[in-house]
Amino acid sequence: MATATLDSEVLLDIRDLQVHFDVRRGTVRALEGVNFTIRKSKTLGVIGESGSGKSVTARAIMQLLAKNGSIVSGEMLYNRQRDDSGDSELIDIAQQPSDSQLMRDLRGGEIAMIFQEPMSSLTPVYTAGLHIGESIQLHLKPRQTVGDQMAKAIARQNRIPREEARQIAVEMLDKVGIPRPEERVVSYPHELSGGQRQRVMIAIALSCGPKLLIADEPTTALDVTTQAQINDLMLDLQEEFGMAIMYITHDLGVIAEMAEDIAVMYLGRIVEQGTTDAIFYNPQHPYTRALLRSIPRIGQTEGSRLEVIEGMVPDPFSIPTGCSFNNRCPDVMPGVCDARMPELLIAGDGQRAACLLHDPDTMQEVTRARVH
Amino acid sequence: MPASIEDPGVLLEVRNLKKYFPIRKGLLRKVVGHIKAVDDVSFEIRKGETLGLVGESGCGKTTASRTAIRLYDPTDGAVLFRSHANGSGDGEVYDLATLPLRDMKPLRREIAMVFQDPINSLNPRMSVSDIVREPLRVHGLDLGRETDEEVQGLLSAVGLRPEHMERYPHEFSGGQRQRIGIARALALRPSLILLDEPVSALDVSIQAQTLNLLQDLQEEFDLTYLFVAHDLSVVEHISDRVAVMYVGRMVEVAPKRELYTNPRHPYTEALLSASPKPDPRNPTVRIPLIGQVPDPSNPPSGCYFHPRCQYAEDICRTETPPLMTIGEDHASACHFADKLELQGMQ
Repeated sequence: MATATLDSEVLLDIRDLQVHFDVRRGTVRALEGVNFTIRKSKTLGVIGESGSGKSVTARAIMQLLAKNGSIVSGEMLYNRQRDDSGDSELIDIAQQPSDSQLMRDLRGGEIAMIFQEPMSSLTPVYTAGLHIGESIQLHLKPRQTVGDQMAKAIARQNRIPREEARQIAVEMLDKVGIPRPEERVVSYPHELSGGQRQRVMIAIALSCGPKLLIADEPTTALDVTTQAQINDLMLDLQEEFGMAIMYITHDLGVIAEMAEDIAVMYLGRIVEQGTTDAIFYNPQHPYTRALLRSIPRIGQTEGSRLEVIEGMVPDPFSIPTGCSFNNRCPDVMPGVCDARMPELLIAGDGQRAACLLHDPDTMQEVTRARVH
Repeated sequence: MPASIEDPGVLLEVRNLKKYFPIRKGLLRKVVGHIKAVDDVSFEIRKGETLGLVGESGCGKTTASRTAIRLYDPTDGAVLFRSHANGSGDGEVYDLATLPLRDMKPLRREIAMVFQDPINSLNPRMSVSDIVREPLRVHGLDLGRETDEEVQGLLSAVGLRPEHMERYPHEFSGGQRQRIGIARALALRPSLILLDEPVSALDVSIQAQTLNLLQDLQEEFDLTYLFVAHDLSVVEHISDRVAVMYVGRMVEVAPKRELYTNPRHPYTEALLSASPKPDPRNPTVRIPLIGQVPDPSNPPSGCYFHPRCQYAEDICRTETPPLMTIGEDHASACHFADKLELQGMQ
């Protein structure tokens, strides 16, 4: 039960989240104790390589895990603000069944998501307007301005009438910068360009005024100039609507421009979380450091070779014991890192890093052992 | 046809290359127009260098590079390639654009390709050994046992172990698959390799390994690369010179340092400013590009970039600027290349 309290600035607090998937070969421990917080109206960037569990985390928050996946333990505390009274209540999303009314209200309403592939996440048989209208009719309550008879009919269904939903859809398309929204509202996905499709996705997500927008690699399939447009748009809309964003990406350049806070994931764990500034200029986990050194940077690579992280991400059935990064870590302490699991500890500029180098007890033992 | 390249250091010279794809409509599939995927593109690749080719999707960079190695038949233009097959000093020059296909085959030994998607470009039913030796077999160079050693050598050159030979593509990770693709490209000891987005499907840490491998191989095997990509930081890292394309045309070509710090075409400037920088304390000031890349079957008049260009003037709407040399080794297709003060990267 959610007996804990949250700082009023915190929108979502994930504590020790574990998600497992049952597959033929056994159990994949996709998330092994994920901890992070998302602050209200701020952007948390989540970076990591494929298989690190970024998308699984996003889907767990939405209660949209595949059938063979389950939340084994942990809490996802969501600070729900009641618009009318100003009170807030704490909901542990981890405890809510996926098909409960509460989850249905939250999902797509207060917590919205946009995906990487705008083509495959829009249905080809719906127009842009229908896509947005569907979400509006499901989540928004009708306004009080409609005529008597209509009002009765609507009250029964408690739905916004179609025409009004279309009007809101047009407004939303205009907000996300689609030219001639009146015409575009009847366009099908195939008639739109990649950037426009992603704008439609954003319009759907924002149409119900979410408090949290989960963006899972929203610009990976787009060109650089389109990517810049979409990211700028998201920042503008964040200012206007005040929602928090959980921005998942593998692109360190994008995250530097988008996020206030960053969580670095590796093999189902958060290895470091802190402010963007701390992560980029004073990284404390060897994985974060290696990642930052391995990317080509314009103007800094004259004639040089890139530093690489040796080896590759292990497959989910052969995760090393102890710290899961120990087999690729340049600073590995043999006999220590493969035996012990590091916790997230305060390090550097106030960020938290899961590395035994920052664990005073471990380090004391190591020094003592060296002396002897 | 006797052809010649003036500069002996140039391996491939593309002159006024065009590739139009017909748009067919109606019952009789009548040609109603053309998509000018590559429209009058000229560039050269010098021996031993890496030429980066960048642009947004649909700009024709893939079509241009594939047409340049005759994977597509060009609509017009010339592609002069210096073949060193006979071992004679400067080599012999052939025009790939007009060469009969049967005469192309021996030349194909000298030109190889690495594809973007390492999953779809490897046959799932072939073992690694078969994949890597296939080019040898096609050219009648598969000598059985002896070739085994050759294949092992190639695999170790790309960082794979000999015991990987009998495995199948699905047993490998994305980065390893790309290494198999690279080993296959090396099999015939080519002089030129076309790399089409070779690292864009890979994870950050694997990307760095692959880029380093490509640099090592270039030195070891004396290779020349045509590197097509959209990621400007990757292109800057690996290239000697960089060419920028926009809607089927070349808009700027320069040595990489020069192009990144001193762009002379407004599109290059905008592209650079859109590229995200992993440096949160010094964010780039973005030059907003309004609207979208125009439709190549119905491009705007004059300079194709003028509807999105913040510096556009009347002449840009009416006259198409040619690619002009504006400095040492620097060419730009802008009417105001000399006058504009454009912002590069530090």
